[in-house]
Amino acid sequence: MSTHVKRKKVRTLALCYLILQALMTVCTPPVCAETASITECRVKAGFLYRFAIFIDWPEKTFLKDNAPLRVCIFNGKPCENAFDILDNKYVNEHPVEVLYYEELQQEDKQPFHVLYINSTDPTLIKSVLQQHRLQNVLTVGHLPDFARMGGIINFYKQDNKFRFEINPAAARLAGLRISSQLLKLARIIKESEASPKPILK
Amino acid sequence: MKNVKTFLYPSLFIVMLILTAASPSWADTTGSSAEAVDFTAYSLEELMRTEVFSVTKKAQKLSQTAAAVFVISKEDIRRSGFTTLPDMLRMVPGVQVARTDPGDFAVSARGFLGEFANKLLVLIDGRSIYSPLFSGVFWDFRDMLLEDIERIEVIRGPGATMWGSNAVNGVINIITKHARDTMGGMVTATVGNTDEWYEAVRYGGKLGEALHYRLYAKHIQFGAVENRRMEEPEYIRTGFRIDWEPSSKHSFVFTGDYYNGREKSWTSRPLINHEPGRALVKGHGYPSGLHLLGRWTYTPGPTSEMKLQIYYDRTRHRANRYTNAEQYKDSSDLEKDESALDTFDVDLQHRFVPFARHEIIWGLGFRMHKDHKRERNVFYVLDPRSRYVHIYSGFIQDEITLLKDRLKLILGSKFEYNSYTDFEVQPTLRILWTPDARQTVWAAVSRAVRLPSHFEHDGRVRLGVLPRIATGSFRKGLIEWQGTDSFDSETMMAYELGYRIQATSTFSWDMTAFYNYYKELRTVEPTSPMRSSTYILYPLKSDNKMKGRTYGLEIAATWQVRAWWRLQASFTWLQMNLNPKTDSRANNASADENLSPSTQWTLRSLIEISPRVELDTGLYFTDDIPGFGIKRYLNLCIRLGWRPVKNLELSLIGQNLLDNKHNEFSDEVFRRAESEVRRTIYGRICWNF
Repeated sequence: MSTHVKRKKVRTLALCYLILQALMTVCTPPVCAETASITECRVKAGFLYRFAIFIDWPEKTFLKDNAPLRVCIFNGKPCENAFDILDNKYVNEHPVEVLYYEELQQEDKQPFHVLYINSTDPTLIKSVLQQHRLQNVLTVGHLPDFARMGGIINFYKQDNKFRFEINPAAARLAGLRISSQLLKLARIIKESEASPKPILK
Repeated sequence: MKNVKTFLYPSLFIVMLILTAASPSWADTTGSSAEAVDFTAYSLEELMRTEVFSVTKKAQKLSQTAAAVFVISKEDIRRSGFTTLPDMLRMVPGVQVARTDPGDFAVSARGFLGEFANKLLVLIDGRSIYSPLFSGVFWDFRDMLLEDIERIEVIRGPGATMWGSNAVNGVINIITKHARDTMGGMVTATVGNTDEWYEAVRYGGKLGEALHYRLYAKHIQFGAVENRRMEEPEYIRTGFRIDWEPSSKHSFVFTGDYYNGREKSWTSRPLINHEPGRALVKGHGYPSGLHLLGRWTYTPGPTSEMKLQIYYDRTRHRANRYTNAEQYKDSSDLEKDESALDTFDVDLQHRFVPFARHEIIWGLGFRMHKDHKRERNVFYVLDPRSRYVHIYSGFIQDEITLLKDRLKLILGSKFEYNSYTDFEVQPTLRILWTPDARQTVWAAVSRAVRLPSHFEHDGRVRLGVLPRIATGSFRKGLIEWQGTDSFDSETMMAYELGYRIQATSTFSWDMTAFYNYYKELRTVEPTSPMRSSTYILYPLKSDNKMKGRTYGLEIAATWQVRAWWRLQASFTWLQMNLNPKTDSRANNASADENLSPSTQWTLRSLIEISPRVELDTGLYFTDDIPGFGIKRYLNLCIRLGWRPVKNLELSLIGQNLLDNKHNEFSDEVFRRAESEVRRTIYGRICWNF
């Protein structure tokens, strides 16, 4: 190989390296919103729908026979669109209506039946679970201690697959009846395990 | 330097364009993909069986691998705009891809590029599509429905311990989607300004809760390449996949396909009784094949899994060629050629945790090839025409956790007995250090071998005819390449070092350096001429008289700039240094080392302009291939995708936009640059129902 060709090669290499280097320095600083996998959210939407089928709400929570069943996604930013698929699906006569809330101020918000708390911040979850009266609301979350903190259903992962645990005491407290079909697929959080007032700060 | 500039400026321009286009007004559109599966249709049990890999989870999983892995996701495939499988591999660092003919590709990893590149193993759902007849992969025969692919895992470097022989420079694992994820119907079609087009239909359904199936049919015509000696080959292919999960512990997969093709070409052949010793041969080829595969997975617990897989694969190729297209009634001018290859393979794998800190995977395998060739007047023959090859293999690998979540040691070896070279041992030693959750450092030392192909043992190919002046006799000379029974395996020792970092929650990169040392590489040795009544034969015999070193650097980077914008880049630098041994008279060393580009880089930008509109851009740079005098080229590919309604996707795709046409590779035997890849603009429709 002639030196000319060699030099050319080195130059190309240097240029490519520079481009890459430039790219990387441009790339490193920004810290953007967390990108949760959309697929995960879609699968969760599937779970929420199935949960709703296996849960009985007190009659009074529906004004009419075909009143909507409202699913509230709290803090849903990273997977916004994923839950849209639930809209207009039916759960025993009740069409599903999806609401996205960024905060849970009680007065001006419509009541809902299912609350999915899309957060891994224990302080936030604690405040949601404690400060809001969640009578007749199915609370669902994804945090190791969610069910122990008083949430009803909690997702966890095993071998890259979703599993869920149920806190039946919390469901009773909320006035919901959970079908045995759902319970038998779940890991049950016993009352003794659950701490009504979590120690988490 | 002028060349570099002509490539550099457009690329910089594109980068600038992309950067300026990223105005903040788009910032709140969030990601959504056309691959949306409606999981509300799933039962709870099905949902609990659905695998979910989040971006970070996948990264974590990748970061736990002590090898140079790159994964092409189904999203990458859909948004790349490519129509063929090998083209997808262009985005992978360390992998060389060149289109040689409408349906033929040269694909290799870490050098040794060639149409019969023989150091890269390719598997589809665990089934090897590497041809033991010629060594290498016939990509046109082995095409598939790209929409069925879940992901393509590309492992550069030796994967011999797990996958066996021929995984010397890399392994490509193509994994197809679970039948549950392809429910309903799909129709797709592609049409453009070149002769490349395809259309496909697929239907998936379920029988009961636990059994899902899909069926598909595809027709493709390979074009997009200008070659006046070849008409576009056409293939029809149909196949199925069944997934049956009778309980959470047992699952079964069955796949199968059948294909049938047609090709027409004119090739230049050495012919003794023609002046000037060469003639154009017109040929009709009819490839066909099928496969059936079954796999049973038994998962008694989270730490234990057993797999049993059996498959049968068959390929047939029939060709009729005529030395003179007009007068082929003269039967002496007729070439007939039929070859068949049958493969039967059984594979058992078991993963378990015998005691804390150890995870053992072991396996046993048996493979049988039977090939057969029948021919008449053909310029290449096999002698003996038929051959049985048996390969018995076993492997064991132990993953030892030295420090929990910090340090792992992986030790393993494959032991193989085969009919050509008897025993082969292919061990590996790998170490994986994860100083924290974001960083991984790994190193590996491995040995791998490439087994001889049937052709290298028993083949004979006529390469050229020498005129009487050259032979100094009244007879003409015939140069013939001959296989020999003494041809042995090529062996390699590989030393690899890798580093991965998830620098921020949105930016990660991965770097690998390698040094490979090869021994017993193939050479073509001239031996003493032999006289026959009509010509003098100059035999070139295959031998193992070359050694060599290759080394290089591979970098891949991903930056999720915004939820709706992802940038991916890769860079490859490769050096090859091959030396024939002192007793070698062959001259293919310098040729082989000049056939792989020494630098490659890619830059891809995937933008979701709105939930319905996607703009994806790719730049692919390949350096000179001095061995063929091929100039460096830069491919620009742009795809604009639009979903007017939920189930319909329309795409407008441009490929090789920066030049009218360019040459990517040549034919290794006759070294002539014939094919030129054209600029292509086409539209694609994909409708799900």
